[in-house]
Amino acid sequence: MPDTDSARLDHLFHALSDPQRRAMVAQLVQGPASMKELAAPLGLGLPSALKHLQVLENSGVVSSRKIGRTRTFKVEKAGLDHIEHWLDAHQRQLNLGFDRLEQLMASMKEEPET
Amino acid sequence: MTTTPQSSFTIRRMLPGSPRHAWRFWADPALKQRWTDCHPDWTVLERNSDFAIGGVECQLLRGPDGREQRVDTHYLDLQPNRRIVYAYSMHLDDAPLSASLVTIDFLARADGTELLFVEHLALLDGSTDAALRQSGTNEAIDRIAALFTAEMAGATSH
Repeated sequence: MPDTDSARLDHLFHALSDPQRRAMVAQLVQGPASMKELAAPLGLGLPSALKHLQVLENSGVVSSRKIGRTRTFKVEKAGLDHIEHWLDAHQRQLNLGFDRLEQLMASMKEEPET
Repeated sequence: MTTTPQSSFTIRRMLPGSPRHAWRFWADPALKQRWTDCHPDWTVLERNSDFAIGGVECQLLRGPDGREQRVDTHYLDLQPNRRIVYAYSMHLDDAPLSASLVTIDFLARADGTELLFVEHLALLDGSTDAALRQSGTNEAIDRIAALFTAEMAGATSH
């Protein structure tokens, strides 16, 4: 998520400048949905639906979570759901750290057992 | 009166290498810093390492906005190559943000190590202030979302 409010608003208005993305947000306001469920009513292929959803996600309007093979999207109502927003941000930070850990572990040899 | 908001979550990750290999990246302070440091533009005011049962670590950072973030960690149980248990609290400019209990299990798998990270987190008073600074734009998003719903309803009724 962008750091400053004005950068955040730039992303937000870009994200919302497209009617198909607005339709996706309107659907998500009714409740969380998978990429397939969001693509179908708009007659979009999965790759272009994913592109739109990535723009929305980068703007902070929606967030997603992968459970098994399905990625579920929902509207990000941070102001309304304080702890959920806090946990989302916290878990994002943790996962970024674990990404760095994974790369670092792979780049270093195991120590021989002594 | 309000109750303390709290919640638990679990993160599972596959890591390359053995649990013994993974353990080093917590036990060796220099290695740990290489993957936990995520704020290159923050100034380290204080940082010590005490990776031992009963050990207490403190990290005090100053952000680019001049605010100070403090993390205090207490190690409760360490089983080499197997398990780390710790409690930690976070403060922003002396206001308490959160307090957590974390367990990390390193599980040996055929293709590496499965990291099982479980945290129980309680949100404290200072976190409301931190969230309030964001809520301006979030309320705007809520209003905009309501407008879209109206736009869509209009489109389908024509």
